[in-house]
Amino acid sequence: MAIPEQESAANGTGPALSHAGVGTAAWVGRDIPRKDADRFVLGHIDYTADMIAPGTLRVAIVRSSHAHARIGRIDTAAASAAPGVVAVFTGADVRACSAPMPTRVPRERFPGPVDIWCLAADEVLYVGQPIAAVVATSLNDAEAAKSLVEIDYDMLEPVLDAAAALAPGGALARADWPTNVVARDTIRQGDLDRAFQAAFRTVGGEISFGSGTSAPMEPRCYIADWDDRASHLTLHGTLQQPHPTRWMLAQVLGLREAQIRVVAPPAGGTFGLKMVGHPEEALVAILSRELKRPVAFLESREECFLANAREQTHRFEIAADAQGRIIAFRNTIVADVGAIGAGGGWVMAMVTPTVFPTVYDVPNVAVDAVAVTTNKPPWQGIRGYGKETANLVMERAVELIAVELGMSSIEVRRRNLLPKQAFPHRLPSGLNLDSGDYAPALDQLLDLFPLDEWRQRQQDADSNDKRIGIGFAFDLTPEGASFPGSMQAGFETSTVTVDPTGTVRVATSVTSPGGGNETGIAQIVADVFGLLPDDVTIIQGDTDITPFGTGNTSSRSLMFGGAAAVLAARELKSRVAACAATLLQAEPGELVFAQGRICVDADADRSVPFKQAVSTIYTHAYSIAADIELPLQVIKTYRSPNIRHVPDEFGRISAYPSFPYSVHAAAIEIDVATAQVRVLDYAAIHDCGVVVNPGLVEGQFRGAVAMGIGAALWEELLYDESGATRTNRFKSYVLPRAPDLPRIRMGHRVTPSPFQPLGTKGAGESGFGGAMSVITNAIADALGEHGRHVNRVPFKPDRLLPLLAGALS
Amino acid sequence: MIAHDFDYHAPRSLADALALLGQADAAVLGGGTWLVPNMTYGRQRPSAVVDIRRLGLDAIEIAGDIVVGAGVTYRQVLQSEALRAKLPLLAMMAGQVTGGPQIVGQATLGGSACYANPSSDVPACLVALDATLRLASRTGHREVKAADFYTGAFQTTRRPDEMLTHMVFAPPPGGAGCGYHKLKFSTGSWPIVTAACIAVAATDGGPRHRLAVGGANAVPVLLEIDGRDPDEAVAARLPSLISQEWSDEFAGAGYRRQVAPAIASRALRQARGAR
Amino acid sequence: MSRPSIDLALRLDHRDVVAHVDGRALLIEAIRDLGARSARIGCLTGDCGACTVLLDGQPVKSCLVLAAAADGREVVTLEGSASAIAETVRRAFIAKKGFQCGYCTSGMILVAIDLLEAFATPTEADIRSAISGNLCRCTGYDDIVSAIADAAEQLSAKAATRESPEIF
Ligand SMILES: Cc1cc2nc3c(=O)[nH]c(=O)nc-3n(C[C@@H](O)[C@@H](O)[C@H](O)COP(=O)(O)OP(=O)(O)OC[C@H]3O[C@@H](n4cnc5c(N)ncnc54)[C@H](O)[C@@H]3O)c2cc1C
Ligand code: FES
Ligand code: FES
Repeated sequence: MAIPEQESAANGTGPALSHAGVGTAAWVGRDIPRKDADRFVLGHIDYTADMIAPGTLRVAIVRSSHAHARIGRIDTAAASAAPGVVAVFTGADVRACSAPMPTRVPRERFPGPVDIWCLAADEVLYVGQPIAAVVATSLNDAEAAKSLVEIDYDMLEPVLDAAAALAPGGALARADWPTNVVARDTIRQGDLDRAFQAAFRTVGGEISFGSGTSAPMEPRCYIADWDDRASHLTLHGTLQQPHPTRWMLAQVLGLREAQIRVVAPPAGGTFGLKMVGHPEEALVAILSRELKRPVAFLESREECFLANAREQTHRFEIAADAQGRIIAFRNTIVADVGAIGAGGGWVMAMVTPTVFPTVYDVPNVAVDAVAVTTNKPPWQGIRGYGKETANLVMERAVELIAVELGMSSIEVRRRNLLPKQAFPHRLPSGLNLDSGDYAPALDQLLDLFPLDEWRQRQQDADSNDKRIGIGFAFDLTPEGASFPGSMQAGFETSTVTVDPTGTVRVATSVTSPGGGNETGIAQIVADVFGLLPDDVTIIQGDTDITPFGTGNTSSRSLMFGGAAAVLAARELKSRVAACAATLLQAEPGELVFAQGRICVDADADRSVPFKQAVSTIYTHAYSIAADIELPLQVIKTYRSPNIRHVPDEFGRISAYPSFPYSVHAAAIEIDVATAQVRVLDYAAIHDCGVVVNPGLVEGQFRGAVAMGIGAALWEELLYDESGATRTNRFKSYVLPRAPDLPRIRMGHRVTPSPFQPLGTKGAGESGFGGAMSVITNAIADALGEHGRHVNRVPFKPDRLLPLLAGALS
Repeated sequence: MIAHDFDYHAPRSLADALALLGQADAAVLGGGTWLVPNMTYGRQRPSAVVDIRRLGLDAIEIAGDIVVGAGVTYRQVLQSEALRAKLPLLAMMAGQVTGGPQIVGQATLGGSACYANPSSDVPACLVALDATLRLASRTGHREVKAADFYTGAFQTTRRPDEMLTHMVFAPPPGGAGCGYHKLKFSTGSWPIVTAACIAVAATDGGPRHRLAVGGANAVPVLLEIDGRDPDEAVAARLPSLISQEWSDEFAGAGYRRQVAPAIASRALRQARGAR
Repeated sequence: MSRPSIDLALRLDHRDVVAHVDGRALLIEAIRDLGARSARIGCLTGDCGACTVLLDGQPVKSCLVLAAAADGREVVTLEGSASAIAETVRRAFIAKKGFQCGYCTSGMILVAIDLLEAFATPTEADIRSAISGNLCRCTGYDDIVSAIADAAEQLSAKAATRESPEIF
């Protein structure tokens, strides 16, 4: 589905495609095929695991079978003698030859010590934590020897949920911390008590979220190769953040960055999982240096399910006046972030509170959030990054207050959405919303979603057999996370080079998780030079040749990496223009770059091929190009003007620059006898500012919606009473499959971000929270009056059935 | 990635296969869709694997009784016109197996029959169809009724040295109807509750139903119900027959017992309608 | 100490190969070691379909097959799949953006080819069911379904022109 031309035009949302003078915009906005598409469909892409060379040692990891214990004696003798085994490493061995892994958030921010070693040295904090590494000549042999490692444990009391973590005088999840509370946030705006007293209607509720995981199709893999003679390490890996990984390795290994090259080959999906900070990243590097041989770790699917996220509970209250204006909202959030590892996954719990009250204009807001550590596996990044739960809670609150008001929830939304002229708009948390055009998006959705038809079908359905539910939900997804004091500092860098033959090379710090950002970057750079995207080569994921930056997280690729590339390309363009002006006897300002040529604006006959101008510069350094800086290479960093790390008068910072939004509608059906839910229809309108490649954006959005539907209905990590992950394969942690989903109909709006040179916003996570929310609202709708009791996501039928029985009785 | 050592055998005669099965810890390999991943994740560690692929157990014979080889795949069931005509219930079941065309072509009925996973389709169908299972070992052959074969979750009366060779079905009487209903939460979920039903027209008092419910209990639950309004009988009798309720990551205690009658009724309705 | 290994003779992507492999190897591991890396490992439990190959012409999940059991048989991976249908499907995957990260793509394309070889005019439900054994975490499937539908249309259009009697 391409953007219907008239749609963006009809919305009249400004100079969409050639916003802010990108150039001729021949390619931006077009749905062109992916770069390297042939290699994908021929099976010629090499992922990390495809690069494990013969002769590479393989590592199998012995993991803790207890949630909380002190490690006593470890006997590795039998394992060391097993066939094929080259070495067995324990935490003590690792301590003897390396330093702890740096945490992504500065250590001072934790309430106790955080010495994180890639193999637990003393205390194990969750079932599955690495304790020993068996290195062998084959993976089969390494795995076979694992069971021969004997470990004595001294049990400590495990803390397995948030209630236990917060119980006064209760057990501690880390023996060396004084508390289980990792972090708190308190957000205040206005006078809550007064607003609630003055309210016409108020209503409250509770919603808890089960654990989820990102489960990309490609598991993690790292290959370390230490060259002892050169004292140099190369790490290939499934890495979203090669530069931060190099920074981490430099500290663990006591090396200079120059001694380390980190390469991120094409990734088979990441969704946040492959951010820096997994123990195995450091482990293979240490092993390779100690053994002086290449060492590879390939994660099993079972290990991949150790990545935990999202478990939290919200207690909220919302108040409205008689006109249906929401006047106050308050919420208390308790998140169980599992054990603290080196990665920053738990930070998601502190992003959630910052998103309230999402797309609504609410004068009085209070949010209190607390993140507690427990003896479950650490949180790892996951699409949504905490914003999805905020959206879902807000959308539930709106539905509940609509019931109290006796109004349709669509009408309540309309009365409370931030109007277009309210932007930029500062949220109570300090986040500064860049732009939005919410109410028209809702109208546009109603054109796409046959609400009346569904209401009719809902009435016609035999309510003793099937019930139909219809839901709506907005989603606001802050994108481009930039946290002060961390390696997610919020800038990206691109080096653009015009080579002597006139082709263009962009080496950028942003990596590709597989979504196709390289194609988008090629499009915007091609437009600057008036070239074809095929003339632009994108180089990513190699710390030796790409400049420093965060990598790929929080949908920053085009927003930051693309912007940096455009800034660099524009500077190069002016250099080439200077030469062309001389050749064409014109002023640089008169020149237009298009279709591989540089012509004088008014006079198409006066032109020179781009290639010729470039070649002239490279070959006439002392004459025509004497004043032009050589080579034709520029490095630029992009920092967003919409990020503020200096606290404002309320002490708040703004760590996200861009705010794509979407609005969703869905119809679902519940089988009354079994509480099985089926999604019957789905439509959404998405606005991520200027769209560089509609096909790429739609692909991201549909993927996010599918994942959100999965998270609402089927996906949940479960732990047994010992803290072990019960759902450790795709047969128990169930992802959506093709027959489970209806076609997702979508439309676009284009409300450019005024803060970004191209007017784009992040796209990638956007839509995930909306999908979770709209399914939740649709289920609540199907339950009628009993919908207010909906309080747990995902909606497993065994939990839904009692509610349904209530709805029927 | 299988960690433990084992020997692989693909014998060409049943006698050779049975001799190999006589060794301790040998496992029969059907389609491998269960056995192989279990070996990969260390949940089954046989020292020898005896592949039935070359034993000619992949035939469907229809001459009086219907004899289905243990190595017949779901795809073969779907592709056999004759079997579809004689035992439409098996085809209905096979048509709903998940895992895509790959699993449908790889997995065998015999493997599912022997694995005795409560969350699977085949066992309850065999019970509903009153199948006879032919088991062979070095020391002889025997036949067991499907209803007597299942003793617990993942447990059958098959001895480790025995191989299932065939499943034998008496053709249902003319005019019999059948129904199969499966509750799954999504395409990727296990069968949660299945119901397989054969309805035979009776002269008076309405049809006779033979109903087997799978997934709800550690072993398939069999009910024989007469009468025109069997739903009431199902609602009254089925929950108490679920004496070892199955629960897993998909649904906790109580759920399956609660929904089983509805699933059974749907299969009953289909069986009556399809007659 | 060394482990028992086995000799394996395969026809792999139209080449005869003979190899010495670990007796414990799965078919997916053996063929990847032999260079057929377009078949991917996603789960080793038979659930994701990334390891799909054709074994004696039938689509199978090669993580469910012991390497030893494939001795003397023919294996075709995406890289060895070169029919007219395969080409059409590939083009359609590019045109309709039927992939993002591409990790599921080898399996998806192979089952799509298998579907279209058996069945020229699949409905959307047929297509969704044909790929139901293959997980994709990136696309939400719509673009994959569109790609396969598009390939089917192109193939039947071609077939129609071929079959229509030349009386005009
Ligand atoms: C993705 C996927 C989807 C699935 N979907 C379904 C589904 O929808 N419904 C369903 O019911 N199942 C499903 N299954 C489970 C499926 O594996 C079984 O139903 C299948 O039929 C097992 O047969 P097999 O030949 O592969 O068994 P194998 O793995 O070969 O064997 C299973 C067990 O039985 C033993 N065994 C095999 N054959 C014999 C024999 N002849 N004699 C004695 N013992 C024997 C083996 O030693 C082993 O212990 C699915 C599996 C996968 C991987
Ligand atoms: S790796 Fe074989 S199905 Fe996933
Ligand atoms: S494209 Fe990434 S898994 Fe399908």
